[in-house]
Amino acid sequence: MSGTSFDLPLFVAVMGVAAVASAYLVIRARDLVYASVALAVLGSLTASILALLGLGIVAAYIVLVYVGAAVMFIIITISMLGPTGMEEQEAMRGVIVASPRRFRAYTGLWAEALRPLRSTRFGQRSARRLGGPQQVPPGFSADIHRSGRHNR
Amino acid sequence: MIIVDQLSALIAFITSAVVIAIGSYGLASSNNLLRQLLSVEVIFNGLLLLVLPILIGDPYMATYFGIVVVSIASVEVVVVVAIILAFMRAYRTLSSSDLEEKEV
Repeated sequence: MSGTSFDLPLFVAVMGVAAVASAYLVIRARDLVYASVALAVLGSLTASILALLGLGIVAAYIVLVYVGAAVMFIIITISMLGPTGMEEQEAMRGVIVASPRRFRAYTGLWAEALRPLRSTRFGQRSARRLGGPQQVPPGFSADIHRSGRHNR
Repeated sequence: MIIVDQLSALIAFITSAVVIAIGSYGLASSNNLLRQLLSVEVIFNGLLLLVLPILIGDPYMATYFGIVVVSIASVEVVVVVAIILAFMRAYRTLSSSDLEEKEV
């Protein structure tokens, strides 16, 4: 069966399924050392797919430089670092981060955008809503602000 | 010119899309800086599988592009690990949530 046009897509598909499985193992392995080893396997499978597609030089370069140096550096570093404490993995965190409002709150883009407006009442209210650092502008006492809200 | 059948390129594209999605999920769902670095590397592998088959019509371009991108990614790994180790020494934690609470 060698040399037929059926071989190449079959091998690429097998390597692709293995690459997806190793990528899943990278983010799901409890031990970071095993995750790093899975990353090395993923890099090797990526190189093999590229070699099957005809990019042999790039594949050899990936195996030598990326897997052989960079990923091995990660593995050695994590092995020497030891256990790095409790790790929280929240399944819904991705959804929370992906929602635009929470994403803006996380990255602080709104806080940066509102920095020139901090001295105004609108800027104080926005910073408080986003949970960012608040500053009382000169001549604008917090007591006055609180009493103003209380009167309303 | 390298002749690659469209089915193989399509399989590579599908694989790259799934790998990028898995890496993005891992990046968003974990709070460990090292795990986030590994997820970024997964995304990088997916992007490599996405871009290089597109450039395969010009093999010299694909080769040069692949070599440059892999070199930059390797250097980036070293720099990011150094930054994470500096964080670890300074704040005694690798949790991005703790770093956010400490307003780093």
